[in-house]
Amino acid sequence: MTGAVLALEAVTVRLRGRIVLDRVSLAVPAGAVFALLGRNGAGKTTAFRCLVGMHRPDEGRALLFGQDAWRHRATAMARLGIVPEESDVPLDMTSRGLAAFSAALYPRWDAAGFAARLRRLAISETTPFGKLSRGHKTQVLITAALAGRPDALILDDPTLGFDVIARRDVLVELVRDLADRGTTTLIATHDIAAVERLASHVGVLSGGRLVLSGELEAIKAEFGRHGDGPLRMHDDRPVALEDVFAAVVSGAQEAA
Amino acid sequence: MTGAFVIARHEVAERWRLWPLALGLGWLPLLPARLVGDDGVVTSASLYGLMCASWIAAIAIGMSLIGRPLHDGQLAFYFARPIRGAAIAGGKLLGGVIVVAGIELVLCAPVAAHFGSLSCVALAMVPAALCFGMGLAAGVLVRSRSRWFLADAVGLGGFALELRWITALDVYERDDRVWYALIAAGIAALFAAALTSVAVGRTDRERAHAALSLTLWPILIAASAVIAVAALA
Repeated sequence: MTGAVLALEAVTVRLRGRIVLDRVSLAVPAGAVFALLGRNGAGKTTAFRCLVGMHRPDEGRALLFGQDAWRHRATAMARLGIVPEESDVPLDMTSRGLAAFSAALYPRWDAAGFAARLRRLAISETTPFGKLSRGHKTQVLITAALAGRPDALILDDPTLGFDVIARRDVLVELVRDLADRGTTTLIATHDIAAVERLASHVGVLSGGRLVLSGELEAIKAEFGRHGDGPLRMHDDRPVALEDVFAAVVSGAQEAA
Repeated sequence: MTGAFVIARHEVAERWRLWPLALGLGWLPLLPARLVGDDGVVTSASLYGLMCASWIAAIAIGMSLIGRPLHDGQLAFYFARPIRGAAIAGGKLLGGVIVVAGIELVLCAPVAAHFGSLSCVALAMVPAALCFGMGLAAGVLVRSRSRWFLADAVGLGGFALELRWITALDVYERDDRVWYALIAAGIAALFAAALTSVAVGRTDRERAHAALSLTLWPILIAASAVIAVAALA
């Protein structure tokens, strides 16, 4: 785990007597785009909440920039951008208000970049969050997360519930920004096609357990090995991540 | 401290609608006097009504400050930013205190100006602080919906028994300051519990409720016992 920007070390979380994460260990190396896949309720959001120091693991520990996320959350947050699954911004706060709020907290806040990105996306800075569309809320949150010039970015299913076009717009913008900055990124999403374009590493959570983790190309190569790979491919078509995901999750469910 | 002040400013700004409302309500007890031109019609009932309204407002502000965002997941907005837990709790509390004190002042200002006395403000402020503290605790208790509710029931029962014991000792007849001290201890315990609830519980409802209960009842019961024993001595 040494050298990982974001890491979970044998993290177990129980919520109301139910095991939500079961000895999960993962490491996101510097500069990687790590996609965490899993069905609804697999434990992705809980893993993220542990990583950002909002939830204390019952066992194990979460590390942010090599430090315990629960104990050093506040200092680490200045280097981390977060886009939650659901917007948590107060409904009457405007994008301009969010920028003013954030500018006081982030030493590297890029006010000009924040305003320019919103202009490019044609999002009003004076509309309260409660009146923004879901897509615009997410874009403002991504813009705010990037404006803090983070060393790492955590995105919890930012395109959940979007139609195909809106999802593509968000991800294309994101890909452009990530490529420009080389920011270490951890993203949870159900959009496997986007993961194939975005991610360098992939992890799969199933029933609170990490059942697969590694570099995307290595995983695809392993699963697509002609004839004797886990997917038992018998033709030369390239293996799709969707097939790997389905095989791993159904295998894990059968084993459970 | 920057984070605490940013949050306090945000909490005050978020409740700006309360200020003109309080200004309007503050004039209500004086309205009959203005209409008939007789100061004698400013009745005690309307003044008590004004006080009760201000205390209800203090409870509502307290409940909305921590309990509601804890339930709605909006505390994550603060915890996802580089602000220490104590600063988040302190900022929210500071913002709430500014709003409650300001609302009390604005509510009482017309009556205080009419009678040329600030006693109305002083009378309203201490119960308002207690109501605000109770609102903070009640907000977490009601909105967290956790099993720590049982601990609160036990703590409340223990505190009620202790109050009964203090009353039976007749210490308040010897010295009014006993009750003032008890009220001050109550306010301090409620504020400390609310601070701990946010700083330790963060966005976890059950943990926040546990922190509140484990801070509130021991402080309240121990402080009350110390005050009673000190009064007897």
